[in-house]
Amino acid sequence: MRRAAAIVGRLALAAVFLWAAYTKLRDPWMVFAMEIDAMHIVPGTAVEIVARTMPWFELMLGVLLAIEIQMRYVATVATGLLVCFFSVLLFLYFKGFQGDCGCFGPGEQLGPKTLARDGALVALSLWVTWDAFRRSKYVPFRDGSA
Amino acid sequence: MRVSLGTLLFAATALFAADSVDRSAGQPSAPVTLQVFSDFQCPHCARLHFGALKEALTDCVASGKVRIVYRDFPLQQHPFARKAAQYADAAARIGRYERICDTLFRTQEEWGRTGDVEGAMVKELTPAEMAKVRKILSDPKSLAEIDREIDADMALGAKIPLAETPTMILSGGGKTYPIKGDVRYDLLKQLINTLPVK
Repeated sequence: MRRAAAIVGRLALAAVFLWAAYTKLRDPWMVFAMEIDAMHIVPGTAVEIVARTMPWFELMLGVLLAIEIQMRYVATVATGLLVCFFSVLLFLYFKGFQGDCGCFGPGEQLGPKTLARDGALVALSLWVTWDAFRRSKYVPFRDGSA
Repeated sequence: MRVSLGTLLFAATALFAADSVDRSAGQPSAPVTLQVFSDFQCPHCARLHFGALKEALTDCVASGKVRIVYRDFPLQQHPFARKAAQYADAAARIGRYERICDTLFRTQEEWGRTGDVEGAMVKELTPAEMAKVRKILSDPKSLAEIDREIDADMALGAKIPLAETPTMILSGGGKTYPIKGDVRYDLLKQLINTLPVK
């Protein structure tokens, strides 16, 4: 039962990353770039780099999560990315930003619903990561070394 | 994606609805159209107006590729935004729309505090032009027409649906993109260049 739940959780997370990548890649990269630029948190010179690479990175994570390769590393990176996104959205929300969150393409305004959903995704990703470490029986710093 | 294709197509086709007064820049036959929904009291709208839109006017609008259509979307939290839109639309009737847009956006902090929109306009228009604007706004029929135009723009925005200003709807070559915020012109231009032009 627990194993089945872990599979469902991993595939759900993979689907989220694949959908996020698809919604960005179906439009020219400038659409996502303008969403990032409107947030005024990424330096102007980095906007294009982020807009061009992020969707492909999300696609790669989605595929790796789906086919379950190097799960400890992939799940850790996915969690790190989601924590970054969630932190940025929290910061923007409390700063009074009312634009698009840029999560799944244009047209999705940042609000409590977006934050609740992204918070739930962070929780799911943390659980998938914990499960990946638990199943690999890997215990960090077991020998006491840092 | 909340912005459905249907509503975007509606927004694109609504452009060709008969506007009684021209609040656009560029050639009507331009292959690309940029509808700009803005609020005269919104600081981001002012930044967009003096940033990307001014650059567009001297570049892709001047070259005949893009037509900019200005739409009013006065937000509820801005008490004088509708009044400013009324004055700007009255100025459009005497051919001074762009000039008054510049003035209202440039002085939005001043009249935004007091509501003295006319005070901002007096400095920009000649006494004769100002008299014409006053006459338009004091005529109940003309004012009702202006209000109808503002309401039509707002209804169009609500249908998209539009929740913030500035929002632009870029359409051309069968493609439509919603763009939010005070974006950079270099990015906007690159997106415009991806649109097929016949």
